[in-house]
Amino acid sequence: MARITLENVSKSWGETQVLQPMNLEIAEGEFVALLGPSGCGKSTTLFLLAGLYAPTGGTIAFDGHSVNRIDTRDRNVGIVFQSYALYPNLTVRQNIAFPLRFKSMPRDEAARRVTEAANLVQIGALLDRRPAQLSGGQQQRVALARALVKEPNVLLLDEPLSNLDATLRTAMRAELKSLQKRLGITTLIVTHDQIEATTMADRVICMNAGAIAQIGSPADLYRRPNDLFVAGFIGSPPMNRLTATASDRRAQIGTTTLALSAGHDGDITLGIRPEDIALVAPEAARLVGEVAVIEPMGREVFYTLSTSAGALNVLEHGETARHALGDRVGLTCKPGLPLVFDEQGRRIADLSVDLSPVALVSAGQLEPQS
Amino acid sequence: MIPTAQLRPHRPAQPMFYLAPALILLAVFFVAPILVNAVIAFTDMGPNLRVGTLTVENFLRIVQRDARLPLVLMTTLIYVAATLLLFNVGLGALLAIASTAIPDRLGNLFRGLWLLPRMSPAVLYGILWIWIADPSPSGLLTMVTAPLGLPSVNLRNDFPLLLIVLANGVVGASFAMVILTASIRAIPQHLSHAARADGASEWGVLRHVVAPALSAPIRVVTLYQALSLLTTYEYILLITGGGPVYDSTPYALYIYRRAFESGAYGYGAALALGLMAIGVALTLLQWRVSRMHATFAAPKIEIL
Ligand SMILES: Nc1ncnc2c1ncn2[C@@H]1O[C@H](COP(=O)(O)OP(=O)(O)O)[C@@H](O)[C@H]1O
Ligand SMILES: [Mg+2]
Repeated sequence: MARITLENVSKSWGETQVLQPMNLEIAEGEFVALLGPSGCGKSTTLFLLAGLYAPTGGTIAFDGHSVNRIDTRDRNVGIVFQSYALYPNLTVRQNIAFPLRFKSMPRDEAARRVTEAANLVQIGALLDRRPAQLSGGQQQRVALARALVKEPNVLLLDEPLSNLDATLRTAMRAELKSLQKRLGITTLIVTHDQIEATTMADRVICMNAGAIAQIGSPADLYRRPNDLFVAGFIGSPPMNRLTATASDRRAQIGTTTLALSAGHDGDITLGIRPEDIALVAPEAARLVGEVAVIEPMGREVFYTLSTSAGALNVLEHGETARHALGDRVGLTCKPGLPLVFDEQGRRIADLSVDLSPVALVSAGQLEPQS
Repeated sequence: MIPTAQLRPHRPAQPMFYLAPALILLAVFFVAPILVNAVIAFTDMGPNLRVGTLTVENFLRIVQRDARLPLVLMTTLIYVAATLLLFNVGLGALLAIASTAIPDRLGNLFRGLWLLPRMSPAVLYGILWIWIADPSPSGLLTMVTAPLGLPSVNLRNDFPLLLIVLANGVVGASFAMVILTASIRAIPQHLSHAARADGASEWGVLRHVVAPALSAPIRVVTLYQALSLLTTYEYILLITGGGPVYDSTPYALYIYRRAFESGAYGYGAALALGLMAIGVALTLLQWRVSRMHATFAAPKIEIL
């Protein structure tokens, strides 16, 4: 198992810089997810760690020793590719055994390891098939077994679940997570699916346009996003954004004026998640909207409200809608929310806008509509 | 409701109507010549083109009395096997691998150069080789060897077979090069990445990823080129004329020389039937080996 350190690692293809200089530390045995939209440089980062690409600048170190000049085959990394990349002319058994060909290892030892790896991912019965005779889920397991058979120090997974159907994906998520915990291999998983990242990983690295936008626990990214990009990328349905103008301790949002928790001047963006908004009687709230769309989704009802500041999505628990189309409703949320972002989209940590229920502030005689 | 007038009754398709142009071409340029050839093979047609008697004499002569035929068959075997293995497949594969390993722009230029002889007229290409092989001081080979103090060799006289193998191979290699380049390009890059991560060296990648992907196209190229080497002789005719005497005359050229140089049309036609039998056998083999029916089968969807 290895500890991985990236120091100012960057990558350019010719003129275009694909990765900005990046710093990162992955602890021994940690499960880290690299999350970001398509084309942001996740696979490139993974290939840099694997040694398949050489960094344009910076140092990659395993256990404190630079591996910049060390070939992929000497790094002892196991990789699962998005397309699985199984050798089409080899059987499942030969595919899994392939990495062992290049190690001097007694035959029976190799055979034992192959069986062990195959059993680990539950494909013991498929060993004599060829990749073309396997389903996507089975191919993925073979790829995983092939990556694990040489007992790698680092496991790199490039969108391993994106070709599976939804049910299988959920099952494999749990399986991968428990497998990783059991084996204790330092693991980096690349994904564009925030649910995948937040459910499996100890820590999530959120990337945007070739740079790390934020590193943190799933809760950090969800509750304390560094900027509007992370705020928008994490969470589904996405966070609502309202543009406002702050002057001193007031924020002007559409026709509504709200109190700021501290003094600030300039354009700001308020961010609030649909599930964090509570709908109350119009008199009990500082911001009022009108129900424009109602979408019952089973456990929750999804509303779109139009306010003077723009449209807002609200997710409310309950199987049936408590409000009708055209109803006027008040919008409130807990103290500390909404989040406030500055003109560059960065979150202002200690600043918030007061959207708490009016009742809490003035004597509490108003109760929420129900 | 849909007006019934717009509903046309379903008529069966008329395959013969659509196939007719192709069938006519096939009949006029393929079936008819074979039939004519087959008939001539059973005659004693000579330089005056008159048919005297119907006879199986030509076939008896092939198997019993043609003293040149063993040499011709041996020449054919050496010529086809050497050109095929060394150039049309061997050099072609090497060129494909080399030209895809270097930067794209350079690789394209490189392949373009190798395609040039194929695009130039056969006569020009033939003359080029005659100039290269010429033993006089103005021949290219002599110009290179003379300053080194080496004796001048007359390739056309002393090594005619080597010369025709070289000349055909240099043109022929480009076919495999183009086909195999496409095959190499079609290998997903992830496969070579996977092989390297699994511990393979560059050579290992070549052996375990590239070679398996090339085995099917190489089989196709081999049979296709074998067939084409067996049946064409224009460069040989232009460069050595099959000589000296019959030293560089493979089977196809032998047919030509018998029919058109000696005027033994009946005998030439009989020889040609033999070549056709070999050709059909090879084609059937190719069909089997290349699993052509699999090529035409519905594709399996590939997950990207
Ligand atoms: N071999 C390459 N040559 C040039 N550009 C590349 C190459 N590989 C990736 N890129 C570019 O780098 C960017 C990041 O790619 P990638 O790391 O694959 O993104 P992701 O995995 O996040 O979807 C993309 O814009 C892509 O076009
Ligand atoms: Mg990718």
